[in-house]
Amino acid sequence: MSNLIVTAGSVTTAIRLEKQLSYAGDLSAAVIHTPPAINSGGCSYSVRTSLDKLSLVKQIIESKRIRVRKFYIEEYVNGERVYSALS
Amino acid sequence: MLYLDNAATSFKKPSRVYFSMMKNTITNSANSGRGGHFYSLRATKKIYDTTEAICTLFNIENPERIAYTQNATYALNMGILGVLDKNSHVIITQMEHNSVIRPVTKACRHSVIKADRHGRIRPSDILRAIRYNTKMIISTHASNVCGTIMPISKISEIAHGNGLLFMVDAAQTAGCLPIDVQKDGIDIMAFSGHKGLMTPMGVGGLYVGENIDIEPIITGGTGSLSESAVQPDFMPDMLQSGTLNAPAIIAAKESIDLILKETPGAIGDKERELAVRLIEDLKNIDKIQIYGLGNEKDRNGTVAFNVKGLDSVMCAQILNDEYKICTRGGWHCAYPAHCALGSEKNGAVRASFGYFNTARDVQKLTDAVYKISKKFN
Repeated sequence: MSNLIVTAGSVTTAIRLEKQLSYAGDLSAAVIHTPPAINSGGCSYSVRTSLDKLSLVKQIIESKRIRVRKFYIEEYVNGERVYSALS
Repeated sequence: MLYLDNAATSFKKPSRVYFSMMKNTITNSANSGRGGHFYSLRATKKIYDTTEAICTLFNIENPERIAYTQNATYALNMGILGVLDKNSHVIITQMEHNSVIRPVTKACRHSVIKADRHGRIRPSDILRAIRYNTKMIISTHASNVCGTIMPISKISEIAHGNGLLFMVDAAQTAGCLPIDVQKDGIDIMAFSGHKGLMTPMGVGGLYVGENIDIEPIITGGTGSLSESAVQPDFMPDMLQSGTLNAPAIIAAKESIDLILKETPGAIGDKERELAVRLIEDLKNIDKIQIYGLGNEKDRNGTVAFNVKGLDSVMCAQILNDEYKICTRGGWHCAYPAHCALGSEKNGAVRASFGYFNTARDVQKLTDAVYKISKKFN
């Protein structure tokens, strides 16, 4: 199963997105510290949810004008988490 | 003791605020926005719940536009020093508190709109004060001395009609007067939690509208962009450095929910009624000077008065010592406002009503003032 990781600068932004997703029925969304593999060395926060929620996430970001940074796919390959940017 | 100093802080809070404060000091004192562990995120989410309640109260669309501060003074300093520079010009009213006057004096040149003997300003005077380099108009929402409410919607129209920012000091009105940042045309607003919002001390905030150019005056750890030596440029992190007072902010939701239920308008009306009742009662006593408006609509629950022949600080001391009533004498960190009201020589005794006061409290104060006036005249 693949996950969607949406990175945000502020933890407030990440929590706002998580909450809006939960209002829209996505109860699996959760705020996480951005994984180092997709971070530029510093701290930031992301929302992790199921990849099949991508269109819902995009819809909420647009309608609520939530400023996120990037989208990544998180997959498990040989027991390890692998990330790829979503264009 | 009878507490009548709600313009300084609401001493008594709804009991659910105390319980929440205690509970969250134990359970949610992890550092919000620092790391991704369970306790930190739980505290952050609860803080965000309070932010959403504040957004509902003030009709703020985007919760990210609110930065928490220790109090309204910090918020005002952030809004003033973060927007203005030495080449700017700013317009303020004569009824401002020192938490506006002092940062403005530090920041740039400013013009003061004179108030009349009741603490009212004429919005048309603002138009005449606008200069080529005027950047912002700042107004208190209500005087902390005499309770006169400023016409903020009219001031906002003037500001926006001339391409200026409009900043409101809502320290005296948040929670006890309706505030709608969109309808009222507020670009930046500082508020305190511990007064009308009845939160624990150490909670205040600054609302900054979208696309407003503001620089942080405090920089440091935000839990974001740790690799950068430069402060983040996104809200609220840009204006929110250092550890937040999580238990107090979380407890704030309890009182704000209560206010939302009862409505700020209804709470303000009740406080205003007590103030008007006090004014009417004091009018029946000889040798009492009352400052500000009487029973007009544009006043809140704060009343300023003096017993003629008696210094205001002394009068407040007697009320405390002999009648166990807490009021505040002096100049209330707002000397120019006293100059407008005519109380600059001795200051004034300020009685300010809050959520928990009743008509009985008015009676008790009136009786005490009557006895004092007899004794000293």
